[in-house]
Amino acid sequence: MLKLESVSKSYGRRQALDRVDLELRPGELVGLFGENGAGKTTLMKCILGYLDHRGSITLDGAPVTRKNIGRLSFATSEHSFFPTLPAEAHREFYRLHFPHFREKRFERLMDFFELPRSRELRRFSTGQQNQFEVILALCQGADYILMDEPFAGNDIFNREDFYKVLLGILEPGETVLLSTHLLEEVENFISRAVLLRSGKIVGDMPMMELEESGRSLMDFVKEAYQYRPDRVSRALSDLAPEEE
Amino acid sequence: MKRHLSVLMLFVRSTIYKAAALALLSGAVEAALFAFAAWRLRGGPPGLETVFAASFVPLGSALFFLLLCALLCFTGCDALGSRPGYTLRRLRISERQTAGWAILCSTVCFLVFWAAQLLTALLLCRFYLASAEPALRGQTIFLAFYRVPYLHSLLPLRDTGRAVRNLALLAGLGVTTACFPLRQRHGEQRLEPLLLAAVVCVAFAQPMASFGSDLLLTLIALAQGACALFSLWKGDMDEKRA
Repeated sequence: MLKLESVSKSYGRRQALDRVDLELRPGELVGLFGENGAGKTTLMKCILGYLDHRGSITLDGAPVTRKNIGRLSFATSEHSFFPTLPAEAHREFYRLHFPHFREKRFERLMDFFELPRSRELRRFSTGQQNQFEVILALCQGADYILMDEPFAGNDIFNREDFYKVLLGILEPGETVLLSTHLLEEVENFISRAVLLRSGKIVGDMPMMELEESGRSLMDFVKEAYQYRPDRVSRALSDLAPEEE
Repeated sequence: MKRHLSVLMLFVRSTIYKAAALALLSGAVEAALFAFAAWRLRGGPPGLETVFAASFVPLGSALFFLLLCALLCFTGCDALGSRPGYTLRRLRISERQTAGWAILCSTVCFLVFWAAQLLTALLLCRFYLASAEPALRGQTIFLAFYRVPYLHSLLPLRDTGRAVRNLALLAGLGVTTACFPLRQRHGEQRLEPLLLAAVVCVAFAQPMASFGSDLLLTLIALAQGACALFSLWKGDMDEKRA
C-alpha cells in the first residue's frame, strides 16, 4: 500500500500541498482531479521523491528510496524518456534497470500503437511521444503507476483506445493514479475519485458509491468544489452594457 | 556493471557524435581562416609564425570551444520537450554515480576537441610549409609550437606548468559541464561552466613561461571543479536526508 500521511509542500509562501493524507491500495484505479495549480503534479512528484516535503510517504511501510523506487513508475506530459534514444534502446535500458520489466506487454503495446522502433523519440509526433511515455510506465513492472496528464495532446480516439487497452492489460495487483482534467472520459474506467483543491483533499469517493447514489463524477466534483451554476449567467449580466 | 555502462552509453550517445561533428567543423573553419591569412600575407615576408599570428584561428577555436561547452551543459538538461531526469532519478544507480559517468563522457569530449584542434594546427603547419617553405619543415613547426602562444598552449612540449594547467582545465571543464544538467534538475542554476569557459577563452593562448597565468588558470579550474563536485555531494546528502 502507498500511504501518504500529512504531506505538505510549499513553494516559498505558496502552499502547494497542505497535510494530505491518502492511501492507495493494490489494484485500485484512482482518478486524481483538481483545477490547474491544485497540487496534482506536486503530489506525484512528492511521492516519487523528486520534491522535498514534510510528512511521510511509505510504500508497504517503508519510505520511498532508491531501493524500492522501481516499484513506482511515472508517465508525464512533460515526458521522461531520453529524446535521442529510439524505442528499442529504451527497451534495452529499461530491461537492464528494472528487473520486472514487462517485455511481452511492451511488444504488444508497441505493435498496437504502431510506433516505430528505430526512430529517435524526439522525431515522434506529440501523440506518439505520449503513447510511448505511457507504454514505458506500464511496462516498467511497477506496482504503482503514476500518470500525470499523460494524454495531453492526443485525440479522443487515441485516448479511448488507451483506456480500453489499459483496462485489458492491467493485472490485479497493479495500481494506477491518474491525474487528468478529462472527467467524463475516465468516469467509467476508474474505481475511485480523489479531488484536490488548493493543496487539500476535498473529496475521496469510490465510484461504486457514487453510482449507487445516482450521481455522476461531474456532480461529485461540482459539489466538492461548491460550484455555483449561476456564476456564469451572473457574470455575464454584470458585464452586459447598461441600458441608457 | 551493465547498468552503469548503459548510463554511460546514454551520455556518450547524446554527446560524442555532436562533439566530434563540432570538432570537424571547427577544423574546416580554422583551415579557411588560416588560408585566408596566408592569402592576405602573400608577397610579404613568408613565415609560418607570421601567418598564424595574423590568422583568426585561435578566435575560431574559442568560438567552437564555447559551442562545445554549451552543448555539454545543455545535453541532459531537463528541457526541450523531455525531462529524462525523472527516469534517471528512479534508477538504482545513485545520481552521484550517474554524474561520474557524465563527467567521464564530458572529459572525453573535451579531449576529442583538443585532439582535433591539435591535429588541425599540425596539418595546417605541414600544409603551409609544404607549399611555402619546403626547406624548413620539421624545425619550423617545432619552433612555432614554442613561440606562437596558441600553438604552445595546445601542445606545451616540455613546458610542464602549461601541461599541468591543460590537464586541470580538462578536469575542471569535464566536471563543471557534466554537473550543470544534474544541478539544473534540482532547480539550481550553476554558473561554473560559463565562468570557466569564459576564462579559458580569454586566457588559453599564453606565451611560453607565463607561470603566473598558468598557475592562476590551474587554480581557477580546480576550484570550479571542486565547487561543482561539492554541490553534487551536498545534493546527494540532502537527498539521503530527505
